[in-house]
Amino acid sequence: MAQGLKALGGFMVILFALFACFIFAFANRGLAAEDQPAVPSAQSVAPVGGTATDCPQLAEQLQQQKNLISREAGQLKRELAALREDISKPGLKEVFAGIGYIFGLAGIGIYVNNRRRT
Amino acid sequence: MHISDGVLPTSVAIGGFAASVAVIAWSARRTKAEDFPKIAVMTSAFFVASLIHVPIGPTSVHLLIPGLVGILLGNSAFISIALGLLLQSILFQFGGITALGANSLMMGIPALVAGWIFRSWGRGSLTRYVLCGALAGGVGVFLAVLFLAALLLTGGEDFWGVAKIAMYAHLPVILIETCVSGFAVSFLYKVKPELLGSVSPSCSMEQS
Repeated sequence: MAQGLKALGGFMVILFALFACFIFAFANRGLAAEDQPAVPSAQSVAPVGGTATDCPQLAEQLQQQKNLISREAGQLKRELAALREDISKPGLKEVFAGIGYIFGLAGIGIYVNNRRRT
Repeated sequence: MHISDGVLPTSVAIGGFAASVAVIAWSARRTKAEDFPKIAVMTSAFFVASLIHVPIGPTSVHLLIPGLVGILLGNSAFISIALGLLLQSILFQFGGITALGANSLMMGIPALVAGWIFRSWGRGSLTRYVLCGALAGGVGVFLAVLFLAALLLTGGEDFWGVAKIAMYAHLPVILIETCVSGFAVSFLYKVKPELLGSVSPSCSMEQS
């Protein structure tokens, strides 16, 4: 009876260990599967896994991504340049400031001239 | 049409300042106090005209109106142009402060020439006034382009190359300014002929 119990206990320990191993393996696979899509957005093209046959696919995927990113960066740069140009354009404020300066200077000129005459 | 900072060599920039100060002094001595309001109005017009962009193909050019300023102000035109350019460079960042003297010469001398053309040939009939006004307007921009090329030559550029490019770019401006000056002169001749300076009193009496 005691031997039977011991055998059962040993069996359960082995079962538990096996179970733990499975869980650990699955968890690792799940993590690996989660890790990969964080890099590419077009993940559906390439299957999960790291065998030697996937290398060209991976390279192609990276290339695609690089193209995408560089295109987006180009767009952003163009937008930035347009924005900078927009900002550097003189607005209504500057125009009226300039006209005000000109009339003010003319006014000073007329004032000085009139004072000198009287 | 403005030269930016750092394009011209220092000697040319300083020479430009010296020359424009001399011309400003000469121009100021020729200016009568009664003309101050007129000068102010034309300076404002010149100051703002550079914001009127005319789209031509992929780029756009803006009006310069040195000719019109010269027509209306005569010898006082240089003061007006120099002040307008100073404010443009401060407020609009058009052209550099260090190149201000050269820029004033580039726009101011053509204005004086346009004024002389108009004052010496524009008399008599309306047609003659309008033709002279249009010619002065066109010549103003044309000379400004030549001045630009000559100044850039001192900065180490190829004169004819720059002159050709600038001339092509400003050909539409020359055409537009020719028309604008012609119309402005014709309008002023009918409405307020004494603004044109050399209109004889008898002529304006006939009109009114």
